[in-house]
Parts: sequence; C-alpha cells; structure tokens
Amino acid sequence: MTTILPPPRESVYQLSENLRDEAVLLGVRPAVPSEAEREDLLFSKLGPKGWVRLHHFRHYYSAGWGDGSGKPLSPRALETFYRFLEFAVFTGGAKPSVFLTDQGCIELCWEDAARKSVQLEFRPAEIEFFIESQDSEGTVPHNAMRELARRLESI
Amino acid sequence: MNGEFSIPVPDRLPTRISPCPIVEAILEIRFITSESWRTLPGLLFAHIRDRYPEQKDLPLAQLPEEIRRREPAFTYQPLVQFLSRDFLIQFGPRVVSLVTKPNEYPGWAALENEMTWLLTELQKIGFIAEGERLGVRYINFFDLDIFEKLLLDVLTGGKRLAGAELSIATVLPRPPLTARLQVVNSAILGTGDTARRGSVFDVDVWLRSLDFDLFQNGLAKFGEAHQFEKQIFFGLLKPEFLTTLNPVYE
Repeated sequence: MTTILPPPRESVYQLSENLRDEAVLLGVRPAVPSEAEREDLLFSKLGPKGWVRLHHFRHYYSAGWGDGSGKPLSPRALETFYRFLEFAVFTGGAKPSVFLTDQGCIELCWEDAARKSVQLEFRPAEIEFFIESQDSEGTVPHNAMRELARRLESI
Repeated sequence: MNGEFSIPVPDRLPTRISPCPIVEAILEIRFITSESWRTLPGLLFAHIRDRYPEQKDLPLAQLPEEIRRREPAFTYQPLVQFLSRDFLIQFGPRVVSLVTKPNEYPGWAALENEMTWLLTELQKIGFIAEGERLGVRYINFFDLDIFEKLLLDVLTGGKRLAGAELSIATVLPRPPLTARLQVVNSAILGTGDTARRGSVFDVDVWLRSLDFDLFQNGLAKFGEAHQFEKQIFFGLLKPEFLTTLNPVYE
C-alpha cells in the first residue's frame, strides 16, 4: 500500500513541472547544509551505535520522554557537542557512549588508554567534565571546547 | 566592494525598489519547549487575539501527532495560522514565524516592529525553553528570466547556459550566518486566484543555536540576517537592471 502524506509546507511558489524533483516524493531529500558532514563526523568519532543513538535523541525524544519529566534535546548543547567533536581525538581507538540526560543535555563517557573513566556533559552554556586519570572535574564555557578537546588528547 | 565574500556587495543598499518583487518575507524562530503542543495554540492565541483575531488550521494539523513526530520532514512545519490585517503568524510544535501577506511587503521597519511586539509576547508566555534557529527568508518574483539580469552564470563547456529552464541552489556561509540561495527561472507563483509564470529569487539566512540568544539579542540578529540577505540580493543584480527598479537610498 502506498500512503501519500500531505505536502509539509504550502509554498507561495512551485517549480515548473520539468524542474520538479520527484525524488522528494520518494522520501529522498537534500541534506540540511552541513548536516552530511556532521553525520560523517559522528560516524567516524562515535561509530554506528553512537550515530544511531544520537539520531534517536534528535528525532524521537520529545518533551516528557522517560518517566514523563525528560526534557527535549537542547539545541545549544547539541551544537556545542558537534563543535567539540570536530576537535576531539579519542585515544586508544575508544568509541565513547552517548546519552541524553533528563535535562536534555548530551553526555559522553569512555575509558582512556589507561582504562580510566572520562565523562563530559554538554549543557546549553557549558561543558562539565570528569577526568579520572587527572583526578579532575569542573566546567568550562561552551566556547572552550577546543581547549578541552586538546587536553583530552594527552590522556 | 567586499573582497572576502564571493558575491560583490554594493557599498550602499537601497531601502526600497519599485515595483517591489518581494512576494513573501518570513522571520522564523525554531525552538524547543517542555509544553505539550495541545496547550500551545491556546496559550499563544490568548496573548495575540486582539491583533490576530482569526485562527486557521493548516492541512498537517489533521495528521495524528504520533505520525507527525515520527517524520523528520514535519518537525519544523507550522500547524496553525493566526491572521491579522497586515501579517500572519505561523505556529507549530517547534516553530513560530511572522510572515508578510503575499505581495504586500510593508518594509523592513514595519516587519521589525511587529517582530519586536511578537518577541515581547513570546517572552511573557514563556514556553520557549531555548531557541534552535533564527531565520530570515525573502522570496522575490520576477516576470522575466532573472538569470539574464544577474551576476550569476551557469556555464557548460565554457559557454553560458542560456534560455534553458534552470534552477540552482547554493549555500553561502559567512559565519556565523549561513544563507541558502535558490534561483529559478521557471516557477509558478500561486497567489489568490491567479498563477503567474516567471523567476523566483529565494534567500533564506539563518543562525544556529549558539549564535543567538532569542530574548537577549534576537531582534538585532534578525537585523543582521536581513542585512546579509539584502547584500546577497543586491550584490547579484546587474547594476543596469537595478536601475530599472527605481532604487531609493536613505
């Protein structure tokens, strides 16, 4: 059975028939600018499992998820997370696990080369970190993600 | 001229051209909220009903919520419209936008004034937990092949592709702003009972979540996005074509 959903938006204009892209009707649509690069980035840094989990957090976890009080994914936390990933190098081939917190923030957890725990929580305005090997925890503002990534490279 | 950006930006930009090609201008806010969609239209309507007395459901509102939520293409689509004499507000679970009436662009000052009022009301209601994207989109229509009037060519084998039905889309980043430009010389404009064939010049400019704070600097950021949109539009018009549009500078 084929089900045709209504067009998502009534535009004030349409392309002429010859220019219309039928692929759109088949569910193939152009990526949002820079989204394809970010998907690649996610895949390479977190692997398929991390990629799938983030896809679910973005698209299927709305307000009230979990026990009813879960907040939706924070766009600012997500943007900080993506920008951090651009600089991040996870030593020892680690593929961090990714979680959505009740507050709508993103948490990354992994073990470094010495099997010591590293945890980062990406919040709307800051990043909270815990680095077991350095017995260090604290927060940095979201625009310090590059320095944090550099610090984590050395563990 | 600006040497860094790929489009030549004129030193001064008109404040008005005539005839005005703007079919529709949209100021859009994407957001997240912890409120259920069921309560949101009522919350907003209670605050804007004096100015926007008419409410209209859009076709997507007929779909069950579960289906809408599972289809990413619907995430930022509006489900309800509120209409006033000069503008309309489109509203959905993750989007609110202020839209001009078709072919009745009132000028940036009026649009900005209306958005100032809308932002104040949105802040009072308090359902927006966080802004996700702030966008400004202008859709222009011309009754001619616009590619002949633009500093923009498509070449095949080194020769300009002329006379063909053509649609191009490109993304122009100028951090923190990003613009998507679509130019089409064979489009059908449907407004009211009429359908006109011609060219569309469609520019959508936006900022990502980390690059604005809606209730702190949102209005200024709308202004910056609008300015970038104008630079792209006027930067791509051939000067001799711009002259025929009777530009007014203030």
